[in-house]
Amino acid sequence: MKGEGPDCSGRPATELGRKLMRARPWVQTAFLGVWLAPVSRWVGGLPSCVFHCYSCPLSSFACPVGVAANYAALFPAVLEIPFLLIGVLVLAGIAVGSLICGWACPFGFLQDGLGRLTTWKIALPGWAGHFRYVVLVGLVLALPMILGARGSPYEEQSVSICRLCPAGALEAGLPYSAQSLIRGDGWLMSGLKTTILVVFIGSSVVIYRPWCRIFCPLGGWLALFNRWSLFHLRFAARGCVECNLCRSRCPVGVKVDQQVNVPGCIRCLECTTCGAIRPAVAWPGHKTEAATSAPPQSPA
Amino acid sequence: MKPDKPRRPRVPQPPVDSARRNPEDHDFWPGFGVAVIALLLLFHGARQSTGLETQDGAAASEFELIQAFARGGLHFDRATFAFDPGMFDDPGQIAAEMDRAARLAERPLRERYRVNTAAADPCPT
Repeated sequence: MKGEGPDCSGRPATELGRKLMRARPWVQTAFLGVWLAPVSRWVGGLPSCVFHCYSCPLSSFACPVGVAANYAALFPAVLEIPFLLIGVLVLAGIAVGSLICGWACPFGFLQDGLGRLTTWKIALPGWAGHFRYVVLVGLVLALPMILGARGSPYEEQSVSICRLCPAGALEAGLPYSAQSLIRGDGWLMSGLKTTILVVFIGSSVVIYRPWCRIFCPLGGWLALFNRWSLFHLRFAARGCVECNLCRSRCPVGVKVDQQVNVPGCIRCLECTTCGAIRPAVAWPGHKTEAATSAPPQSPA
Repeated sequence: MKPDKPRRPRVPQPPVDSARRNPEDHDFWPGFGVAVIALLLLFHGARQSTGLETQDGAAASEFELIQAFARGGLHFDRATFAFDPGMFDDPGQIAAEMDRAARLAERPLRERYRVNTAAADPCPT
């Protein structure tokens, strides 16, 4: 490495960054009340925009990934276009992008909690995020479509995203298996799914948000909109002292000092603590700060 | 203001030229256009009926179909011979069952799916 910027370890976080970091767990908790509300009788037919199993006894909305896989399995026979699903996912993506992952997703919130158990973390390479698209195209769309064309309905497909999903294992498999165990009928969940759940919980302690960063097809979809979404992160050159606090705070290893609205970002907004990265909403007639601000000053 | 408690070690970096960096400001109108299209899709999806039928014979709406996915309410009539040991006593029953399976196999896949709006299977998979 040629050189380094000034040490940021003693630099205070901005007031906005502090407020956002304090508010995030509370906002995530409040969203739990939305996704775990027992109102599925009325809204269960509407896909949500977060990763949350619809077989959970407390689920309100439908899981968009499960709905997409079901539609894919029907596609060769029925050719149904999921307008509701596409509408919800495009609207959520273009409005806020992966802010949903950082602030609203219950599965992300759970991983945040597990990640707090230890500060030691295994770093993931940036390319690991591309695997989300392999899961999206391969496991959620192509595989159910191929098996569906062979006359196998989604529920009978032995390999599917729902049969491998740790959210399904945790939110549906675990409660129903516990219930069955209490009744004396034994453990319901398959050995494979139980193993996936154990590995997921263990890895969430030592890797920050492993599911979101490596496997989540929904996170991958929402992240595609980060470059164009109405809510976005803006770089204000005036606030930058080139201290690299933004990049040091990023828990998912985004090179925030180079570009911030990238698919690898989960928009937790930790980087806003530096003052140069700011949350912004696109608005008609809005002018960039770069066009109106003075050139940046080096701390040296 | 108190110094921020360093939670993670600082990531070293080469000097950056912040003046040359793109501010990454997003334009409003492309995002707004896509949002309007998404809203139209959403309203269309909420109003339209799917090509599948419910068990009453009515066209299932997208809401009903998605609820059926979640509750094990999507039934597929298999065109297979349903074996019953009692059939050996009645050869006519075997012929009737074979005839039923053959007729079902001739029907298009679309007609073999049925949406049960009253299904309440807690976990289809």
